[in-house]
Amino acid sequence: MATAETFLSKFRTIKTLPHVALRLSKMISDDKCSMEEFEEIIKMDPTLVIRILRLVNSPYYALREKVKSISQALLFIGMNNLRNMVALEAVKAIFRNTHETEGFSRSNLWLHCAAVSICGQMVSERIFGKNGEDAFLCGILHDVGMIVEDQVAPEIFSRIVRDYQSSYGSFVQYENDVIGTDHCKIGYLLAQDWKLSLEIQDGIKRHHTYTEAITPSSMAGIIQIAEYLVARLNMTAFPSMKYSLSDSIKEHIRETIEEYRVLSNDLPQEIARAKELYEIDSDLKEAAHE
Amino acid sequence: MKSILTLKKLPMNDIDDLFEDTKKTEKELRAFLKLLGSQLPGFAFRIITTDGKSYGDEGADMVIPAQHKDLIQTARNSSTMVRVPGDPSFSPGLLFIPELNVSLLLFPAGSVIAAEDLLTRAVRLSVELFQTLDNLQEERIHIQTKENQLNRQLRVLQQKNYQILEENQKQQSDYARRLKSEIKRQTAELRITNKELIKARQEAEAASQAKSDFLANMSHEIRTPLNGIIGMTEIALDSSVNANLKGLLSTILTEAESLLGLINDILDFSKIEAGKLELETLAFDLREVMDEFCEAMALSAQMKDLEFISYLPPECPSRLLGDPHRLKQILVNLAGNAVKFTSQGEIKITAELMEETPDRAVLRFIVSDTGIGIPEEKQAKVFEMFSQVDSSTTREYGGTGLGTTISKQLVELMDGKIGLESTTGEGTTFWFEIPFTKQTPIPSVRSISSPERLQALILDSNPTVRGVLASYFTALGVEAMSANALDQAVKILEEAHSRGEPFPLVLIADHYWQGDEKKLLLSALKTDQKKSPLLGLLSPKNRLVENGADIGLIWQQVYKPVTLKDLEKLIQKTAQKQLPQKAAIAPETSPAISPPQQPLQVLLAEDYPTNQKVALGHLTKAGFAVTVADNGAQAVEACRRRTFDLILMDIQMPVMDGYMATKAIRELEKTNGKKQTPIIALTAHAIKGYREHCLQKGMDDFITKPFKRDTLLAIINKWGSRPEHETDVPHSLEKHSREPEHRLQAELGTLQETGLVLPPLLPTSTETIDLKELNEIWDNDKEAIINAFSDFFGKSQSMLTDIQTAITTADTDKLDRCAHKFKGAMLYFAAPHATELAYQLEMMGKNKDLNSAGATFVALVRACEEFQICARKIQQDLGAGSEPNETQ
Repeated sequence: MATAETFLSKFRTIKTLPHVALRLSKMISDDKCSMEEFEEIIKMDPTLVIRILRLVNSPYYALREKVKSISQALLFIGMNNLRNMVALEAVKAIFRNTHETEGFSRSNLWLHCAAVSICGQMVSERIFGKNGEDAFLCGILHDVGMIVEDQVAPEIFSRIVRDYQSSYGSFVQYENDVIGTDHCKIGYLLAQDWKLSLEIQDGIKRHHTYTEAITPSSMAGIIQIAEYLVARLNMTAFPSMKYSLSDSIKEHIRETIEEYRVLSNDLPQEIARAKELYEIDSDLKEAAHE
Repeated sequence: MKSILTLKKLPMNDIDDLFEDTKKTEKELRAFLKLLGSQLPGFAFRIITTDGKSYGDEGADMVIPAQHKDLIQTARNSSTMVRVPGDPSFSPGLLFIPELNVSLLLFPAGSVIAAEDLLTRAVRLSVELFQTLDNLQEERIHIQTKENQLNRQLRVLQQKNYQILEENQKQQSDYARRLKSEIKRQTAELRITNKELIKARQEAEAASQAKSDFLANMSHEIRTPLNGIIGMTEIALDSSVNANLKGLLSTILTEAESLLGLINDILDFSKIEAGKLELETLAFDLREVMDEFCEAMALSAQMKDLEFISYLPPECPSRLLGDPHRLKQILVNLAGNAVKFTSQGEIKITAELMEETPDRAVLRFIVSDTGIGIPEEKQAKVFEMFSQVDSSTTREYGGTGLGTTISKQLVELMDGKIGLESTTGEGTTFWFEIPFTKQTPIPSVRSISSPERLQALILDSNPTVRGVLASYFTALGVEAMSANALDQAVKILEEAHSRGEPFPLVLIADHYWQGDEKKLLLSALKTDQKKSPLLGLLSPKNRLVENGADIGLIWQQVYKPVTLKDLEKLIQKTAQKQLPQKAAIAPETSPAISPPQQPLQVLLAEDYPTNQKVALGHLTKAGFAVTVADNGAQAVEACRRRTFDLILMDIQMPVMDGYMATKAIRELEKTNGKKQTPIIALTAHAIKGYREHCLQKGMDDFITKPFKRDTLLAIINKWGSRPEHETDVPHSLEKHSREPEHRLQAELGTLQETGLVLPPLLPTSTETIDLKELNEIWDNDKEAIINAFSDFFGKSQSMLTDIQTAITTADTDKLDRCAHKFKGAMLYFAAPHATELAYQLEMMGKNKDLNSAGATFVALVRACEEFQICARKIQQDLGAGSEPNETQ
């Protein structure tokens, strides 16, 4: 963990979440945060308001009425959803492509994260019948550790990504071998930093833990399943990345293969529907304007 | 961007693709066998899977002999059925079914022989059927699964929905709670604000009150010294022999009086504005009020040669309840304006009865003039504050324009209305209507019981005057004829004579009473020696009809405007004259104040020196013996020693106030069994209820300070009847002889006695300034002298103030400096007295001894005043044309 800490502290000095996002991350962890306060904080950043409204009005939510204000958005999609949108927008900023190296691009990673978050929410809601909003947030953030690595040590990280082969074992093992820590640990620490819920923290920490028995409906389980399904669509974090599953989860999938067939069938469509959520293009244009 | 929609399936190398596991289960294969059985009865079937397992009908025939194992592979590569070698009639066929990845052994049961290709076809169709059924089944499961998933998702969405609803509700209740607390907070704030507002309003009201009070007090305070000025000026006027000085003094008097009038206006105005003016409800006689007012007003009109007419119709109810003083004030304001703005013609004051009920009467008063008029567009502004027709009017005619404003306010306070009609160049008519309550006991109707019917003749060129007189005569039961010209009058007189019914009363306007006209009239009047009429000569107050006592007629000067009362008296006189009597009586003089034979003993209790002096001046001049008391205690002491005919008692005095003194005097009188001496309160408060208060305190009447000579003497006349027993011969120094030659002397004596420093008020000569020396100093440069004087007038006040400040702050150095400066100026102007005084002050400054500085300073101020009067006169004499008029 010491190395992860080092990475993180370096990361902090370079890249911080935007002011509003920082405030919001605290609000998100605080259950007592009222809708009112939440709204007030979002309103501090007019750009954020516009982005959020665009997301809320996207086909992903398929609302019948056009939402014109944050308070209305709260009314229609609820606080957790809105929180996710805020987090998504905030995190999207740090996924912006600063440099493209062979084998790794932040925008691809972002697509992967977005797909995992959408899929995670589907698995949670359609298979386990439980609210998938936390799974969505965890999906967005599960690979944030890679960003830290890329940010703090871009050359090493791009080398790892380029050199990694599945024959070396798991990627996480390879990360540890080369740089002494891995993106799961770093992401976990960051999640702690942001005071995200324990469940989300655990989801980030164990989403590559294949050797332990992971409960399929746990956050780590859901992320593993979602990554597996998304990888089948070739939406990996980077091209040479390989995914596996904990045995308990393999067993679970085999047993309910029909469920996953159905879900898998619907996944591309769902991802397409959420286009506005993960599109970075328009954001880049906006950034150019700013 | 890399489209995520173009998805390619990649093989999963690291783990088995869980989704590719499509091996058919035994259960499925058995289901297929069952289907074949039902489709192809008479045949036996057995399935052999790739891993060597087999299911289906049992039997010896259903086994592929070991030597023919390769047949399976052969069948796999062939699309047709392969015969298993053996008994040709009974050998089973082997067919590979790629869809299921199994080989099928089929054997005819019994004797059914079928064509191979037909059989193959049948089997293939069965496979197709099975697959279709299987797909259907799979699809059904798929749909079912999806339905299940969507149901789960729906439940989640419902939960979320509840959650959102819950949140919204919470927010709403939060909002309601916050709204409530916000309202509470704002209410509290509002309450505080209200409190503050109330406080601010109270403060503002208090400030406004303080301002009003201040204004009222100031006006009042100004009146006191002003009264001193007026009083002293009146005294000085009476004492002065110098015509020039008289002129100056008259101007001072006029100016001071107009200043007093202005201050009174302001006082009234501020009272009205502050809502503090209280109207009195007194029983009064309107006719008396009108008469009094006209008497006072007429003179100013007549001075301008204006006809002044007043008319109150005889049938008009005159015993009313109301505020006669304020009524008079309105009339004075309006009539004053009329006089001011009229240069020729007449001023007419009339009243009309507009409405009458048994207990009420609405009267309209009309004040009309033949003056310059008011342009129509300016008429509306007349009642506004401080407005005259234009600012140039203010310069030409003077005044502030407050009069009409006050009048309007007063009328409105009396529930009346006011208005005006005017034509430029023709005149103005102001009117106002006021409802009055009539006095309850309806008085007996004014009627004159003349023993016989009288006839009267009126000769006056003014038709209004004739009309008024005729109306009054009719009301008095006199048959009146009027003539508007001399010859007409003569003719009427002659006719009456020839009828043997000469007029017992003839009224002739005085302008006919001169020269030939007079002779003509006289002869017409005296035709009948036995029965000559009583002749009334109508004249303005300021004109004395010739003193021809020997015209051989009984005659009397009758002042205009003639009142009903005047005519009443004339009629009485006429009636008396009808009786046999002697001829020629002296013309009746105007009702002047006639001093009694023995001087009336008056006690004046007053602490304010100027008031004391003024009252003393008026009283001694009128011939009364006056004893002065500085306070109530002295007054009581004086009363203990002797008896007075009248006591003038100030209310606010040091040691013992007027009320206490009155009480003590009344007790004294009771103890000694003496008659009550009339005590007249001298009060500074002209407010309602004060009279009652004074009366309650045992006083008999009151007059308001500042009092004028006429007011003072009128009240003394009213109360000061000479008691029959009192025959004290004046002996004390406090008493003042009424002999004119001793008057001033006595006055001065008293003043000195009362400890007042009073240098000679006015210089008896021009010694104040040594003209010869002045001319020498200035080398006869008239212009330089005039300018130097003017220059000094501008500076003198501040120079004096500097000296005064130096004295009051005991700054001897400053006094030295300032007095020296003043002395220098006085030296240059050759003013020896002022120079001397300034020098004295300068020395006091040098010696640092201010003991008598105050007195010297007062003397210097006096000297300086004298100097200024003198200087102005010199300026005039030297021909300073630009100087403002000092005399009228």
